[in-house]
Amino acid sequence: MTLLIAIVIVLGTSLGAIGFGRRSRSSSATMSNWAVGGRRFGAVLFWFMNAGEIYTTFAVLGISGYAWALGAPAYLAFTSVSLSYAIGYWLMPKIWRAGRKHGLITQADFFTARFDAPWLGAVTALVGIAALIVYVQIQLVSLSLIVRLTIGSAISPDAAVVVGALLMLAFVFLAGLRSAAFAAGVKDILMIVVMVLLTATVAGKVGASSFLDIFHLAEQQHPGIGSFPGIDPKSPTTSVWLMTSALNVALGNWVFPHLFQVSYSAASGSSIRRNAIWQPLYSLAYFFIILLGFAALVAGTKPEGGNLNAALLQFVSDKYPGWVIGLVAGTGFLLALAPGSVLLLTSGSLFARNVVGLAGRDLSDRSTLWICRLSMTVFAAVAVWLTIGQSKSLVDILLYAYSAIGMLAPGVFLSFLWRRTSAAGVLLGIAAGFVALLAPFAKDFWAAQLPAWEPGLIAMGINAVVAVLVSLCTPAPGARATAVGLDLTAPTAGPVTEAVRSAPHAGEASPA
Amino acid sequence: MASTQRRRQRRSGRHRPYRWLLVLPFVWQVALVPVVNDVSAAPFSIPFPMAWQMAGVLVASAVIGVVFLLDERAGVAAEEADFIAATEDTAGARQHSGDRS
Repeated sequence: MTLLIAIVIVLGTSLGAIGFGRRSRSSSATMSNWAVGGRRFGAVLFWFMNAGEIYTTFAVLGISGYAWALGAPAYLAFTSVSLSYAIGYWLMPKIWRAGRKHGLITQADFFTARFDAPWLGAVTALVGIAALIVYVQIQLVSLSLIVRLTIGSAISPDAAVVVGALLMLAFVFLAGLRSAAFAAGVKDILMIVVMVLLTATVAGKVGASSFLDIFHLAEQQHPGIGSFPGIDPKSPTTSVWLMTSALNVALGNWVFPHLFQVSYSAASGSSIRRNAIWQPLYSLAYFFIILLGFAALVAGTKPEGGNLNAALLQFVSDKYPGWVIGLVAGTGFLLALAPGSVLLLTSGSLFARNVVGLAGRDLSDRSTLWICRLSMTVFAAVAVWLTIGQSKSLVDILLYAYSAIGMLAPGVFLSFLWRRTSAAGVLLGIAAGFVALLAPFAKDFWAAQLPAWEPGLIAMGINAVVAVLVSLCTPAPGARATAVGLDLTAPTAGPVTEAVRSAPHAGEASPA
Repeated sequence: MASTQRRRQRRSGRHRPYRWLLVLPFVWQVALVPVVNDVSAAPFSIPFPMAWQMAGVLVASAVIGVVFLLDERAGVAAEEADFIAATEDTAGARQHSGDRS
């Protein structure tokens, strides 16, 4: 029963998504069409594209797990979306304009054009890919948990990770960006159904008088759970942790290559700005997820190996009938597969276009597509390798991913704000930031001096300072290049000379 | 040439002071976190810091909505329509579909 329902949901959505992606692809099969949806995403598709990238398995399993294990630190979820859009309202239309004006497809294209430096495009592409691989890990960890929920513990956790990766690759090979938006839409609706269903029935499952009573019971059993630092009074997750982590997420969010590309895909700046008004409200759904995490705690749920990521799934499989488990599992598969496919597609196109493209001549459709696919498979394998044998919380992995991508944030913001920003400044900023983030001496220093601070935010600050200082001593790029970030008005006269070489055709992402 | 570029860049960064309202969500959801952490009231049994963050989401939406309306009044939509028309060629799909066959 469980397995059947899960399979029906996943297969049904996949077929629908592929059909939807095909239908509109008739006119022109180009890189710009599958990577940025032909820049034609209106309000509805743009909404689901955004929501699809925000509400992933991280949202459901990671946040409920954090609520179960720590309590208050799960509130990070409420800050991530609203603060990102407060910045996005200003930033995303700029990215959209730059992309539209200069025919940009990837994030690295932007760096290439803004600094007239394809090598910087390649460097930023590699940084972006690294962060995306860490992000893929989140989907893999979740997929493996859901595989085990549906098939049973007969399959080992490591084998489940590999199965998860294969599922994701299968989905990616079949789907383009439009297909992913469709699958994202289905999974969002299913997620709301599941959340309402679980919340409506949860009080009876844990012996509370109403669903709100669960907060009361949790506070009774674990005094202090509802405020920082949470259940464990010695945990480093203090108010300062929330403040620095929330800022790090908000500043890094649009710098993720796939979200940068989402800005390109909009049909107009108004659709971006209008979306920014409503999208935060959607994050109130985290209320249900945190509630369920607390419910799992009150019910005394004990996930296998104390794995906090599995807390919600364990709770559901302890307390609910088979068809609910199947519904949760099917939804969970989609929650990982739809965003995961976008992450892999983005990393593949970055690699083919901005890394291999740097060395080679113009590549043919066929070879670009093959490079894309081959590199996506390799990246998925790397993510599997990183995932196997470790049991970090999904929230921690997410914060790692944000720390890594945060290294590109000063470059992006300065590009739009300061004419003098130079390629050397951006490069050395990235280098200094990574040293601050990864070097053992730096790590130890932050851990000792600022234990509650999110290290990613510290590294981002150092990165920004170095980028500014170096830019002051190095020449700014030419006027045509700086205009990519700073002159975002309509071109006045004459044909616009494209700052990047024209896009190679990648063909379709589907095998047809 | 360089000076016209510079002038246009300045014009594109035209001052819209009301956009600073977008800082408010950061004040609510970040700066005030330590202030509200020890409030013991629990509206609808929800721990106060959690209720505060949920209210913060509403505040953020409202603030972004207000800035949107002010932008509309400042004529951003009209300027943007011109931009879209002027960039039809570089937007991608059309340009590449032509040279495909």
